[in-house]
Amino acid sequence: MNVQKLKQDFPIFERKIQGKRLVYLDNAATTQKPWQVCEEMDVYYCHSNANIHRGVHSLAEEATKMYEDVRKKVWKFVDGGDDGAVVFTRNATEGINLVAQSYALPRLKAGDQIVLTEMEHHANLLPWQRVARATGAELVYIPVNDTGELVRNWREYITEKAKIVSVCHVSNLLGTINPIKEICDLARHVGAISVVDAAQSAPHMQLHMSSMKPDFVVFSGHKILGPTGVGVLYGRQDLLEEMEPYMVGGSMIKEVDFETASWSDVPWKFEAGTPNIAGVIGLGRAIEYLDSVDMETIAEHSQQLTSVALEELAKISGLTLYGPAESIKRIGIVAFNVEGIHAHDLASLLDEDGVAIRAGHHCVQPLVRKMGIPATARASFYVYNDESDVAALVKSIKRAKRVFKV
Amino acid sequence: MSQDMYRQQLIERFQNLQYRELLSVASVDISESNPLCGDSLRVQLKVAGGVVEQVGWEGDGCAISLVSVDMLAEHIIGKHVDDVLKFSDEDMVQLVGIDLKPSRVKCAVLGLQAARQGLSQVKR
Repeated sequence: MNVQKLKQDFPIFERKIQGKRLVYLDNAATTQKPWQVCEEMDVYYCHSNANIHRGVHSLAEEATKMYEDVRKKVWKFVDGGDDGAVVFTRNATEGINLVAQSYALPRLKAGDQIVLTEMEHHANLLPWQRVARATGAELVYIPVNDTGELVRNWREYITEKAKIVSVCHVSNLLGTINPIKEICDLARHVGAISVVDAAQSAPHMQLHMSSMKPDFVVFSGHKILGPTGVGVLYGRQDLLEEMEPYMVGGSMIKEVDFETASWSDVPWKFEAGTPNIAGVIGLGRAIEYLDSVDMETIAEHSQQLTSVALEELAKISGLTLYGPAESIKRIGIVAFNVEGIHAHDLASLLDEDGVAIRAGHHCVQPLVRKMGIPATARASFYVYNDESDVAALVKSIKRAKRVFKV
Repeated sequence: MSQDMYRQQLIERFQNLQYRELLSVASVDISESNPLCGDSLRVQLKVAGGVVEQVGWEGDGCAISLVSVDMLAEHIIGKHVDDVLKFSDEDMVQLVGIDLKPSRVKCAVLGLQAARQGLSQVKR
């Protein structure tokens, strides 16, 4: 993988931040976009713009084909099975809310359990809190141990009482890779529905629906080089068919009269109103781009860079790393704190050097609280990062330490 | 205003905060937190005859929020409650004297928000 060559596809790296070269290490929040993705969306808007479905004029046909072709690309991207369907959403958050409201809410009752982990992003926490409140179902959390992994006896938390098991594939704070296939297998075994938050794994790992066999998987387009405002829900066709739509309105119907309506087929019944057509088309191009780099190569690159970062950051005195020490257990993300410097001050100081990281609770407030810290700094990597970015990060942290005299 | 956010005076003040202790007697005691970054401050004020006599605080946060509340304490001691209530967010940023980005302005005004709440209570 030739990072320097690939980086030339990303126009943002031509600009300077505070007069310095941009060292973008906030990829877990969102990734930068290659010109190919921007161009593809431009082509749609400037050359093929029309609303999709139902139109019979040429442009409508063209736009519909562009949109629906992406569905096939996504299905291939996640190695989808014959029993699975791709629904376009706004983001991973909407995907989970859709499953929570349309699948879980009408089916769960008091005494049922919704199993989550302590490392869930708020997006995979709040929708379930809401279902629990409405149905009387109980939230069960698989604890996270001191090294940022699920406790060794995690299996004991998934029992016959579980109706939903919703877990992140990769932690957005610690980068921990969870044993997602085993979790889905156990969920199936006890008769629960599995939901996988793949927002942080889809960018870095080849997803295999055919072997993971989840019931639902969600991820966001903007974290895999695509535009914001488009996400994916991959779900079991039979479950999606049983479910009521999440939103109702235009384009998701078969028949409507003044009193009643019948729904369109899966997946269209979950795509009410004019969707983010340009976004979907951009996502399709992003997936093509990732395919051309090759997901296995990306996985290797991300893990290698994470490993180098862990090694180099560990050499800095007063720096605490969070999450698994063995780099093989994590991917793409490194969370840390420097003694005597609040994470926000650190992020501001790094910004002065053109180094973009994130600081705060990263939408995993309960976990950060459990770790006994107010906030952490987080650096996250992607295809255009290399070891020179890790070196810039280290250099900038050392400067911050000098400024704060720690 | 200085372009350099973490200029020397800020760091020196951060390492030598003047009012970071709770009062033995306080008229009001207010806690404020910033859920976005986890900063939390507890501000105590002693008011007599409509004038702020003493200010003390404790809490955790970034250098900007801690230095700001400390400078605020220094600034409002001896001032009339009404004058302090007129002190705006912009005045606070001015007082700190750093060119803050919008995302960090909320750090600088956290202590002020607590003080305002407290003084409004005193007035009631």
